[in-house]
Amino acid sequence: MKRKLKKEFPYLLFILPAFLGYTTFTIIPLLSSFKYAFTNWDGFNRAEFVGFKNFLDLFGDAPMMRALLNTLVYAVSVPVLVTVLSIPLAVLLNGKMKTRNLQRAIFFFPSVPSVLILGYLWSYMLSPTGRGLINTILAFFNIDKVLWLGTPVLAMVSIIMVSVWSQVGWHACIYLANLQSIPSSYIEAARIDGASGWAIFRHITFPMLAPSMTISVMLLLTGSLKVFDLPFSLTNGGPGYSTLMVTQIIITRGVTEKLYGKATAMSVVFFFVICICTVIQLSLMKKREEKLI
Amino acid sequence: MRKRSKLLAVMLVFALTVSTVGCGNSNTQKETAVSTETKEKADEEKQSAESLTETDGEKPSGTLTFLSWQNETIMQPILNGFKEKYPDVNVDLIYAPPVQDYIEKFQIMYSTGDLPDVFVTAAENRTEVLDNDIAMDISYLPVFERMSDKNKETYAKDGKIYAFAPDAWIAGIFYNKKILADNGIEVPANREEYLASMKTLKDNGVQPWAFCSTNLYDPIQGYVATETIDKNAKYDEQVNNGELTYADGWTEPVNLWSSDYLEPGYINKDALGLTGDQVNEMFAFEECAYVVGATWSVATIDELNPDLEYGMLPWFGTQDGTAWMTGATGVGWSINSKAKNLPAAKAFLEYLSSDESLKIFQEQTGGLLAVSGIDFPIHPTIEEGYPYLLDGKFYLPAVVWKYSDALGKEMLIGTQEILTGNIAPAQLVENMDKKRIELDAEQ
Repeated sequence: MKRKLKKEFPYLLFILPAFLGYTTFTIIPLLSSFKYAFTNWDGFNRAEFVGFKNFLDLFGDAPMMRALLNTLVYAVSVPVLVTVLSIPLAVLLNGKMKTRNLQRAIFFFPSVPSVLILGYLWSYMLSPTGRGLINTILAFFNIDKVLWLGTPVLAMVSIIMVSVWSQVGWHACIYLANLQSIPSSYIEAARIDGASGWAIFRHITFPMLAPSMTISVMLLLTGSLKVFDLPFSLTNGGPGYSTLMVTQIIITRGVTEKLYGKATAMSVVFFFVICICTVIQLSLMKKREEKLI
Repeated sequence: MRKRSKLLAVMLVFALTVSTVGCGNSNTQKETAVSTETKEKADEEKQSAESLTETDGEKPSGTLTFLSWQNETIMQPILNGFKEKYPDVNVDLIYAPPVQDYIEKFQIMYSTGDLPDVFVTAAENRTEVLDNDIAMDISYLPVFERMSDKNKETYAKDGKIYAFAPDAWIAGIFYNKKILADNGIEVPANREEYLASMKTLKDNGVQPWAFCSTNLYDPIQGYVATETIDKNAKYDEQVNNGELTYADGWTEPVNLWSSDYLEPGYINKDALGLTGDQVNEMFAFEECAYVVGATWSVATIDELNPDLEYGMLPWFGTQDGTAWMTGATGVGWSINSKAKNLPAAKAFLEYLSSDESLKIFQEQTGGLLAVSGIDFPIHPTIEEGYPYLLDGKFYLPAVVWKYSDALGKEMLIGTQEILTGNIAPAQLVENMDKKRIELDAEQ
């Protein structure tokens, strides 16, 4: 044991700075959140213990429940749509076209700029005025203007649409890397056996993408549950509460209303929601991977 | 071995000698500098005897920390002027952009005990600053003798002033002179003429108004000023004390907003998809006749269309002759009651309140100074609204609300919910009272 520790000591030293940083900026604030969730701290005065009051109040907080519903709608829609679109895109980009590198770059580009910038940019494109690109195109085809950000359902659709647009290229790259590792002999053998393109995709390509799908869906799911910047810049949670997300209401309750106790209780509940969703997703998709072996 | 130790000894002696000479030189230099500076400073000290008294007789020096919501471009000329006067003080400016970022930074720094020596008090953190003794009393500053009462009262409690706010801002209705003239409309002078002008514009196929998702409630605030505050200046105070409710003072303004703007369609769902920048562009490019405009909007509008001719109207009340602007005293500079460098902080506030500094500040911000005796240029559009500022006929509920951020958010979301048809106008006022009671209960 001592010898093993001595051997691993230099490696442990290497991870020490990262460990200290992670502990200071993540673990300690996380543990503090658990503590504050049971208090009535307002950010200024001394915190008093209030038991489970903050947790019980959450269920009577209508905007919080609405934010939770919005977040779940977003967190289901975005991973499904991105996965459905990025796999065919990756197959397409894996083809032998002359312009494939240019196409890869074009599809990857939307994931490069900050999501905040994309949000502000799209708010102009979806504008109902004469300068809104989408409505100008619709007007060209004699279609009445659409209030993309002015109606509750369409505002959510717009956020999901922009999010999918910005992430498809990046996730296609994950699948592309996986596609390139599939042995060509499998596909060649299937072709010799007379399998159609669809049959090859369904029975060879798609199952072999399981490892990358596990990673991609996990990233999408956790990212979607924690989404803040895009709804903030595109709709700021509006109209009304229709695109308000959990992360936004945590900030509103904590920073704006100075109800840090309530806000941290929400954070704690949300932390467990994310943990449970991720564990279920990982265990289901790992099982699918195991079937491959 | 011996040679090496001798060499070491020689080097050690040399090093010690050099360091002693160095010390001696620096001391001599310091003494000379001090002796030459002493005469100059003696005169300065005589002249600013009062100032030294206020800085507890200590000569300001060292590092002064300053949490600012004006960026370095705005503050640097003022900091340069201060540096010239107090060369021994280094100002460490920490910039946090207004409003939300600044308030968050302020709250984090305060809660961790790192609040700088001088900071900005705004409408959004005013209650916290005054209720928690975060700032020290600065009523002793001579500048307050020349300042408008409204500016002094904004950051005062129990007769003591806790922030020096040199300016104020106003917002109202910007109108396009050409569009009104082309449609045969005289500049409205009361509510009837104003409502008639919107109807004429709509009938002529001109878009009367452009609102964005975040300023839908501006006309409500206008009606609260003309219908409620005009009759009872202490209304907000009474709501904060629990003597009155929002239902008492906001129901009529919300109903007027609904009948004057919502029902005729001047405020419609288009606004929910528009940002403030887009609305300013619409006004600048003459796509609408009216828009909510403030002292800070003129620069953007002028840049977008330098040829645009536009003026400024107040929010008209139902009683003839009653008109108010939206507006508030600007943000103020406060001294941290637990300032680590108090003499420097006091010297800094004294400099900030000097005519020299105020002139620079006005040039940098274009704000409307509320300190008499200083000449400054005013934009011709804003000049139309300036008399309301001088008369104190400007109002912003967020300044006086006990829970300004939370209630502001409730009002913002409530107006959007009304527009989407999720709630009735009366529900907005009910929700505001509910939120106030909920937050009161949490205290």
